[in-house]
Amino acid sequence: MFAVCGKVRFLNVIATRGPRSIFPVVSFAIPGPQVSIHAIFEYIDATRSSTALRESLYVFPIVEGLHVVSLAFSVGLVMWFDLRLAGWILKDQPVSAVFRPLRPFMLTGFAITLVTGSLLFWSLAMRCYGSPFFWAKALMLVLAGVNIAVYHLTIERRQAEWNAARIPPRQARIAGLVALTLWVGIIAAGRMMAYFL
Amino acid sequence: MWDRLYPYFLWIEQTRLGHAIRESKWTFALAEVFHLLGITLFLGTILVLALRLFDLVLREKGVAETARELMPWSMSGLFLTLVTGTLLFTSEAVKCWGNVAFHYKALFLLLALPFQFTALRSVTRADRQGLPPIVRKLTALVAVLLWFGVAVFGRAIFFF
Repeated sequence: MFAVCGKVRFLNVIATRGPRSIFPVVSFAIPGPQVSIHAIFEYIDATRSSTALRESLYVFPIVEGLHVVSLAFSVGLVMWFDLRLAGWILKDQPVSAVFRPLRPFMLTGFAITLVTGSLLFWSLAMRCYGSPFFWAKALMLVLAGVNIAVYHLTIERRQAEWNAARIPPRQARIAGLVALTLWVGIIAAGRMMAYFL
Repeated sequence: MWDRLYPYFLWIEQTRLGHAIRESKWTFALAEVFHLLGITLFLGTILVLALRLFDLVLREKGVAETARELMPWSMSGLFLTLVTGTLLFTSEAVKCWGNVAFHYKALFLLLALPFQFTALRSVTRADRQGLPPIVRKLTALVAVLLWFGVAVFGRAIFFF
């Protein structure tokens, strides 16, 4: 399994329908060895590190606890920036005055959330594979990333013009609201994974 | 003390509400979802308020003003968390009764709630009187520790 995984290029990965997955069959017509996402997840699930983490008495609860508590630092802090972008709160403060001081704390929070989340995924790869909520969460995480990238590459370039505006321009407001909605969805889907795996 | 409380916990769990939530997978899961969303919102506001009391964020804006603006968000978060938390508790009161993590969570909650509405509230309102920074910082620190204690022991209930 490992040898196959190591050899293939990323685009040769195909997604196949697993036993309990709603994930549709997607395949790329690219020549070369084919590896399914199912097989990759199975490989992760079978690693010794995955099993060790899954069955550990203390490490798993600590990782899971950190994942939840760090949410307050990541989403709990970035939400103020998103709300300011949406023009809902702290309107008398420039956008940068809300964002910049919070940044080190929220980035630390996101780092912890990301690392612990990856560890949780690593330990429960096959259970994630079969969960529609995992795929919904993954999709929303990608969309959140796209939203952030679009914001940074477009409207933020002209931030000097609207930094002090009580209501930021429409595109910035939309970016803030989209981010807020996605975070709510990501948290909800993450929590649901525990019940419908 | 916990022995004496057992009949009450048993009674809570046997109410129609407790029974209904316990029997419905979706209701319980959705209550958990909104519980977590409420926690994120509430702890987020507590953190921002604490950072403000430490003079690390929003330095241009007064403490009292900041607190007033955050208040509706933090109270909505707390309300959502308390309501969904009560529903979750009702559905498994007896399990909580015998759960060490729940005992600590209850203790932290019983300390955090009064602290929130006495010490933290008066410190955030006493902006103009110029409290010594050490008082503001200590209050913020205690509030954060108490509320994160509630969250951590809440998460731990599952593992005991």
